Amino acid sequence: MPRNTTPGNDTPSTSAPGLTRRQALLGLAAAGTTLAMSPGSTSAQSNASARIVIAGAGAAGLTAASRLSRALPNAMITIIDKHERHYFQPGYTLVGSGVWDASQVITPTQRFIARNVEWVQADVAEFDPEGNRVVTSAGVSIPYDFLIVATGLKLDYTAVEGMDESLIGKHGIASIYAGPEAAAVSWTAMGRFLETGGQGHFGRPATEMKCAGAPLKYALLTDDRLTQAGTRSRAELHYHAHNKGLFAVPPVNVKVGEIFVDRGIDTRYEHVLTAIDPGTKRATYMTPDGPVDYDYDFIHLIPPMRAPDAIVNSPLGWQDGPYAREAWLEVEKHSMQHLRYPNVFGIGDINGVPRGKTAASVKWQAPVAVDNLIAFMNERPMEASYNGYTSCPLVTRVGSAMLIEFDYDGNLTPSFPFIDPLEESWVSWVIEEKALKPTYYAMLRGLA
Amino acid sequence: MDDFNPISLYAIAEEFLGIWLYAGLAAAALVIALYVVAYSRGMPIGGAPVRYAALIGLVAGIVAMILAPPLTQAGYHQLLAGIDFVLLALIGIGVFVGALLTLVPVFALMGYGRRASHPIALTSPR
Repeated sequence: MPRNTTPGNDTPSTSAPGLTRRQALLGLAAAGTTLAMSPGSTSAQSNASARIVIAGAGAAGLTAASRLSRALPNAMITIIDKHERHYFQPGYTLVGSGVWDASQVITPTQRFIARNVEWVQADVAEFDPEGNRVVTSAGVSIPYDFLIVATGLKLDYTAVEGMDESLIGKHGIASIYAGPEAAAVSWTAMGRFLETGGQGHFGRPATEMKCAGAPLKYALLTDDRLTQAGTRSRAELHYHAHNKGLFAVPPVNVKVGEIFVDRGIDTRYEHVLTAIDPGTKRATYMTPDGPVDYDYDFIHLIPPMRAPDAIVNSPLGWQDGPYAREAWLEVEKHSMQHLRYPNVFGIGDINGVPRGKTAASVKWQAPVAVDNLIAFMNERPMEASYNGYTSCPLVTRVGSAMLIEFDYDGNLTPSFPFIDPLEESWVSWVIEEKALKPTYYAMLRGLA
Repeated sequence: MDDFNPISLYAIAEEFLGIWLYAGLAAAALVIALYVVAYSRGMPIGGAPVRYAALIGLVAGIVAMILAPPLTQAGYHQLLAGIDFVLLALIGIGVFVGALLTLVPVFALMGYGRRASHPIALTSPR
């Protein structure tokens, strides 16, 4: 149970009956000024003082910290992350296909640390939810009343036999997920493939993963770049789907399948990459009929993903069920509250929920987790709910995309009713290439 | 959509434009000031200033529409959906209106409408 928590006093609301016209106008002006000066859309506010620790300063952690710092002016908020650079990960696809430069996705983390938030530059090495504390990689024990787990996930490159992160950019191996530099050298590797042609391999792991659309995007962008280079006829592109579909949402699956056929991208279903031999450029896939080897000239390798070691070694991960193997955080899928440790909440890629490992999901999860944390702190019902919203601007070419958004139930939930989510458009590309990053940065500041 | 509130829109615009947002706001304030000055001096806002501003605005709007896809690294063949042409038209209209509103007081203060309404006599009155 939380310690050192002052019972919350919600900001009271007042009303003045019998307003004169002048008073009403002054009130409207004051409201407008207040609206302009009070950013963010977290509805919950509290004067409670509590110690809140946020593990991770990625998209989820920074967004939560910004919102909490406004909602809880008296709380002690500590964010723990060793990384001095913040990466706009949705931009990796654009870096890896030569649309952006790597520098466009890198910003100092300090820029987004809210004013009254303490930043501990270390990793969380140990989670002790029974003792309500975390231990940093520097060996410092930090107690908390409430914990937000926003660690992100671990890219497990070594789970692919023969693979190591240092091989990215070499031997025809691309992998945009490992970071801006990896995305940049992936573009270089693609560049070589654009000249030589040959066998191009794409696919995804069988585990839960972040941005499940990126493997498809990268295949389509490679096809587009080959077409632009005039060497498409020299290449054969193969997409290795980990199961019997290309996308988990049925109408999108159909649409992507049609695009792949139209663009001459061969699909191999139920193929999961298990090993790679960079020297001979041979990839091994596990299929229902056993392992199969293919030669490749260019491969976009996406590793299996799982919870970071500190979560795996803690009691916070799912103990059974489909999310237990990778130890994803055991949270209730609507409230973001941990199912066994009620003073623990999760946001972002670490969560073991049916959908929601995208930046857009963070944008919807963070306010829910923050509002519910504050409600729980004040012993009120938690009413905020996350519906599984996930967004995937599925880039189909340089200059066109489909703006696909959906919820837990696989319902398409377009934010813009005038944009057909299953129609390739320049407008969706403009949103991807121009609007997403500023919206993301505004989110990190707790303002969107 | 949650982002369509003034605070979020302002924050997103700030992140997108950076210092140019404030330059734009300053420019807008300057244009407003030019209108005030023009009105206070009795300068004609309609007529010739509007025609000249509209002509330049039209050219600017067309140029903006031509440049918009390449500025997003897209080709004209990527204009696939109906909404793409709507956006292109909105860009053109927006630039036209912006140029029009900006240049009208400029031309008015330069006296473009005033010369026509105050002709100079070439002969002395008898």
